[in-house]
Amino acid sequence: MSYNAELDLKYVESKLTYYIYMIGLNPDNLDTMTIDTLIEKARLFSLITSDTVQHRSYIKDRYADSNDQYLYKDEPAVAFLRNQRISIVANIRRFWYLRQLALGAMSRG
Amino acid sequence: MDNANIYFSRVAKLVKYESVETSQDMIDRTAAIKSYLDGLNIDKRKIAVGFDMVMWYFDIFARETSEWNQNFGSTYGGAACEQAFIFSKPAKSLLSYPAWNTGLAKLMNEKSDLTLINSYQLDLFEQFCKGDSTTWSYDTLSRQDAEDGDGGPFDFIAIHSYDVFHQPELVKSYFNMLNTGGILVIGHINNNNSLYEAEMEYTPFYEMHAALKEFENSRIYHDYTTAGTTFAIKM
Repeated sequence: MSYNAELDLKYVESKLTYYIYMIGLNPDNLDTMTIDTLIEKARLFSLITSDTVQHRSYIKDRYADSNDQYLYKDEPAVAFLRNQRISIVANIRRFWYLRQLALGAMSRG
Repeated sequence: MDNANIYFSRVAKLVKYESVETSQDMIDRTAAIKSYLDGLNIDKRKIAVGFDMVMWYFDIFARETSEWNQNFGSTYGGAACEQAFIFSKPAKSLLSYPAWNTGLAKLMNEKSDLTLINSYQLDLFEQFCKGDSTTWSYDTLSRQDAEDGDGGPFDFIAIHSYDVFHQPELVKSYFNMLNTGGILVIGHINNNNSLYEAEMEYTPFYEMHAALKEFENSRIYHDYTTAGTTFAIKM
């Protein structure tokens, strides 16, 4: 048996649909959506990135100030949210890319 | 010669390794694939693809001058999976990435009854990688059926972490398709070594291992060199 583009596209779109729902958009509009819209919306899922949290180099700083209100990169909650954000953005990009490949294969006939 | 090339030139002196595919073969077929993909006018802006290996793979390896094509480390990168295949002498095998590692696909085709996953990898493989000198014989399995654990049973399964990144627990479906004594090998699993950092427990890569460890009849091994390779054996 050879590559089946229709079956592949069906799989990829089912996964992409899942993520589109997750970020609060309607997958019925998939054909008119742009990757920019999806990624910008996905990034709102968590605003915690490597750029927006503080680095903390020394353990001795950790409890230095009991009024410390900052989030730090090594806090478990920060690590969790940051990785959730990485995953959702990566998955949307990948399935968007794989959809283009499957559509390209189908266009060859 | 930079440090990486010095390091790998020394490793190359230690092993007796016959690459199934030459470096030039790999560059040639990768360049052909890149040319095809460029023709699809795929959006490669940063917002669309980031720095994701899945989407840049063929750009990286298509250039003869690429650092990745200059040292033994790249050629030898798939050796951990190849070793496991040779050790286990499987009768039936499953592979998800024949366009990335056509050498491994050739070996599996020659030494076992091969099944390939129905994905873009299969499409690119069939268009650009099969070559004229090899007689190929393989079945295909859809990703839908693979994720339902509805295939096999196999004695050897080779996938990438990218195949299950969206739902790490899917490693269980692949594991369930193994015969007793079979091996599931998952490549590219250390995410550029971030798997060994403090936040490892919050990554999908860690979840894949946790899911496999839940099986009472599993043994899990991890090779932490290069891009990381995990081996799950069904006891």
